[in-house]
Amino acid sequence: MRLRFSPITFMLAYCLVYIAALVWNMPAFRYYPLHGQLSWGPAVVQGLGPSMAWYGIIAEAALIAAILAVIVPDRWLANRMQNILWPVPVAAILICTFLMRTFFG
Amino acid sequence: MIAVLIVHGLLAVTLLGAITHQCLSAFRAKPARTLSFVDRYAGVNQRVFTRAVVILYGTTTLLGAIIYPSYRLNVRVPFEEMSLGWAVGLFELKEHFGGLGLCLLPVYAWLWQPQQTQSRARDRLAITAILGFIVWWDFLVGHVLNNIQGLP
Repeated sequence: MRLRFSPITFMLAYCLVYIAALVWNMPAFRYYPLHGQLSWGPAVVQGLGPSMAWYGIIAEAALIAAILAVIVPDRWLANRMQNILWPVPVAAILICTFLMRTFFG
Repeated sequence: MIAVLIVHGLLAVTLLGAITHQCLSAFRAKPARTLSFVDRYAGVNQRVFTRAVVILYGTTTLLGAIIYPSYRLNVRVPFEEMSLGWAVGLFELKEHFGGLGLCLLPVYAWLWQPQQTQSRARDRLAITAILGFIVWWDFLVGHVLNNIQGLP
């Protein structure tokens, strides 16, 4: 059986998982640059210095989106999303901006 | 780390040029007829530029990810000590826009394939423009923040 990768499914799923991970603060892992350590799961480990969630969010979104991009048929989504692909990444960008508003207050 | 930052910046300049060329070319409705500067600037080989943008975006983001821990320890902490919350916020947006841009690359490359060029013009324009916005935002924010507090 030949696996087919759907770029449309990948983009949609990645945006949704990325935003969900950001909104609910659920990265797959956290990295602690001061000690060069990883901790699995979203919980922050005390005593390891500042934590970074970005790698965990990207890995989580990319992995789930890649699996869905292989499972969901390409043509099914491609036909329904013709010329309306852009609102999802634009919405993701706007939600990110809204979530980061606290830095500018 | 400084060497990686410099290469990251140089690749970002190249990426900025490539995506801007392609955006301008994509938004010019009629084909170039004169030999003006704008026509020449917009007259690009789309397939070559698409491949270049994908490779440059991936490489630039990878290098950014490598220097990110150094930023977190040596730049963000001083920003917080200087009460420059807006600078931290700008970088957070740069980081997340850059991360979201990664998922656009497969669909962007797919939309610029010859078999999609007729049927998905609006998608192609929109995704290219979003990618262009992300590249410009990330470049300008990176430049401004590096001027405030560079990596050691």
